[in-house]
Amino acid sequence: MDHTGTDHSQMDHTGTDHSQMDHTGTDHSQMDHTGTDHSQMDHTGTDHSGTDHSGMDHSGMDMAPAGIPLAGGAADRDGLEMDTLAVQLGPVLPYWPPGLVLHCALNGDVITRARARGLDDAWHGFVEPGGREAAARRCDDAAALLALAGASGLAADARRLRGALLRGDTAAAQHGLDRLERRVRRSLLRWSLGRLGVVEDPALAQHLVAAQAGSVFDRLLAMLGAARDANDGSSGERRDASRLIADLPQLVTGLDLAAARLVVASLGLSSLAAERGGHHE
Amino acid sequence: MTLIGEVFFWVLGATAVLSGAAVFWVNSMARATYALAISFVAVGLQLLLLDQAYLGVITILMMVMEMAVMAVYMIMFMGMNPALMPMSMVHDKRLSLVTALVTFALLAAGILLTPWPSGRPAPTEDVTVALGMALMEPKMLAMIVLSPVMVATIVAGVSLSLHRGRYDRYGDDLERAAADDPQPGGVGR
Amino acid sequence: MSDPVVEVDPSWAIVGALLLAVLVMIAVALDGMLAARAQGGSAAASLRWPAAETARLLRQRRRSTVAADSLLWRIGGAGMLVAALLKITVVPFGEWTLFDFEAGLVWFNAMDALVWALVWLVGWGGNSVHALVGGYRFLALAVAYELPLMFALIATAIASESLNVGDIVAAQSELWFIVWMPVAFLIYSIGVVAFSVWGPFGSSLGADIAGGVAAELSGVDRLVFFAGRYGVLVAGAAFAVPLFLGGGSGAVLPAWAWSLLKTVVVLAAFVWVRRKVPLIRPEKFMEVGWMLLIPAGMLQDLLIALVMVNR
Repeated sequence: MDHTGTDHSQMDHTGTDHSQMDHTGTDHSQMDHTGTDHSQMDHTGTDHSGTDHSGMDHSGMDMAPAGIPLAGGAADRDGLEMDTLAVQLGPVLPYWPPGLVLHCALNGDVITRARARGLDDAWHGFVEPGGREAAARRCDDAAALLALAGASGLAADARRLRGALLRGDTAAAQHGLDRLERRVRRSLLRWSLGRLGVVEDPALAQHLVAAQAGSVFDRLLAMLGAARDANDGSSGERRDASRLIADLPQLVTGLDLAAARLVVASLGLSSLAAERGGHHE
Repeated sequence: MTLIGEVFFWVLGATAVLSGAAVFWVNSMARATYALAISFVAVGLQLLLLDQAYLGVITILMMVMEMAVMAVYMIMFMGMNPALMPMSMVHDKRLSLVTALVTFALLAAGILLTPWPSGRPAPTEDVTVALGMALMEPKMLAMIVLSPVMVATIVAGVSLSLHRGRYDRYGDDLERAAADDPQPGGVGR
Repeated sequence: MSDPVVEVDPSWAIVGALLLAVLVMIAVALDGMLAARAQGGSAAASLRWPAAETARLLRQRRRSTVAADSLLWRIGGAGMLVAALLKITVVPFGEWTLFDFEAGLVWFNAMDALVWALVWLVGWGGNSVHALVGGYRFLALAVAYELPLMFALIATAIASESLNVGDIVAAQSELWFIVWMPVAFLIYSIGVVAFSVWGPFGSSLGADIAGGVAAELSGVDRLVFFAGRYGVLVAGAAFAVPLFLGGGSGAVLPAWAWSLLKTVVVLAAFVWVRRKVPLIRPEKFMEVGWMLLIPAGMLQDLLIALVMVNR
């Protein structure tokens, strides 16, 4: 087993009690370490010599059945040791900013550690112009967030407004945006998305949609507001996606997958990616 | 019980024993847990055949729920966490074998030495009530006292083992307006 | 008092199963129509959709995943349909029932406890992170909805002094239970929608985890799982009728027609809720279940017990 060069930073077995573990008969030859992500596993400092082999018989245990390496264990957010899975979210998922990759350590369904990167390192600040297309992208962002929040009717409305904006039906879109915002305000979304993913850091908040700090719900309203303003041609803002991506791990750590997906969708990264594509062409 | 009923009864008995043994043959925590669930369901169905309708169904209900939750515990919180993987369900074979045999001998001796009522009394009108009386009547007071004590023990145990109590959530003087939780709950207390 | 329901020959179970299938088709078509209305699709196409999707899934080749636990996976997938069928055995259709069981109410409750195991098993079997997360989510939700649901069921048992579904119907000859135990009916409805992994309680099948427990299901496995999931929704709607809506009682029409009519109305309401309420995540619902619904259910039970003692 050659662990040289792998990233061992994520998991620490020091202090774990291996006295119960019997490795006799386990087949390590099946473990394929090439190309696997070992960020989860750290054997440094573990002392396997002199372990007590009488306690537990794992002779029937295969350390890598079907070539999938063993799930590790690590403390979850309550301090209990739990199974840990290394899961990569992105770069392509429904309702997910294209090109964003989030490497997560999942305890059950809670993200205990995360590392985020944009596939393209050049993903950084630029000015978002106003205009119909920018407004349509805002509607896209809002539709994704609404779909993740399970508000399928409202998500369908947001997608319809996007269509109206791209067709150039601005008056109808403006009216529709007002109506959608009223319906969102009245809905249970205030209960399900409020108090979630609260951003208080003003330095980070200025890169959010309409520089809106607060909860996921606040940012959803900001998206609809920004769509209206962009449609008016009254806005244009400077946001830096790389700054948001750098702070992403801190925002999603300790949340379960559902909440983390909502927080990611609320940052409005998708529209930034689309803008960037447009600029490079 | 009719002949078909008797056949069913014995088939269910065999199922209960065999799926109980399967707990140790299979090589995954999920299969072991649900083998145990099948064993309990078979016992619940046997109770139904004995006309203990309520007890039979409640056994199935409780045990399936319990096993569903236990599977998650077994997989998530197993000491060294290989529980997502295939693994042996047998540990420390010699001691376990001795314990199992001694327990079996004790229980079997208990069954053989109990002075069972002789003959076949006519079934009473309401067997569930009759069984409850037979089991509980002399000890009803003890049982009534026991249940609140058990609930109190559970509550005390949970509050002692809580990772984050109200002082973590609301601050040392409980002065915070909203609790500091990783993810807020739905009532907002 | 004559027996309110009569047990029919077991061979009628086939008719019961067909009835379930028809109601499942109605639910699917209704859901499709509501989706078409919300998203501007064609309503006619949504009526064709159930049959077309069935045909597609029957022809689709069954996919499997690496190191899948096929045995448990299949048990979980097929089990939902079995649970739905076992549930409807105790639901009276007019004055007929397949299984006039003395503890019919607990039987229904035991079958919805099976759903705990089944949904998790579907999530586990595919050996996929997203599916397993879906399974975890369902159990988290189950811990929150099941106890309130039990208190709601108990309310009807206290008022009728019986666990037999026929007796519960008979006890409503003067006043339907929904009238004087609306809280229990509300909690029961929440429970049914939740154990059917439906609408606001569908986070185990969420889009954020690639379809959740069903993420890796394909072909006939997928068909049977979703049929079973609609099946438990239908069974839950059908069981609301004898519990709270007076069973087959009603003017002019025969009892079976009233049973069917009331079932369709309740079912339509459940289907409609899906597009009206956003997803209720387990961590949100846990507090609601334990801090609002359980006390509410207990108060409802206490009130009914006081009424029963004093009459």
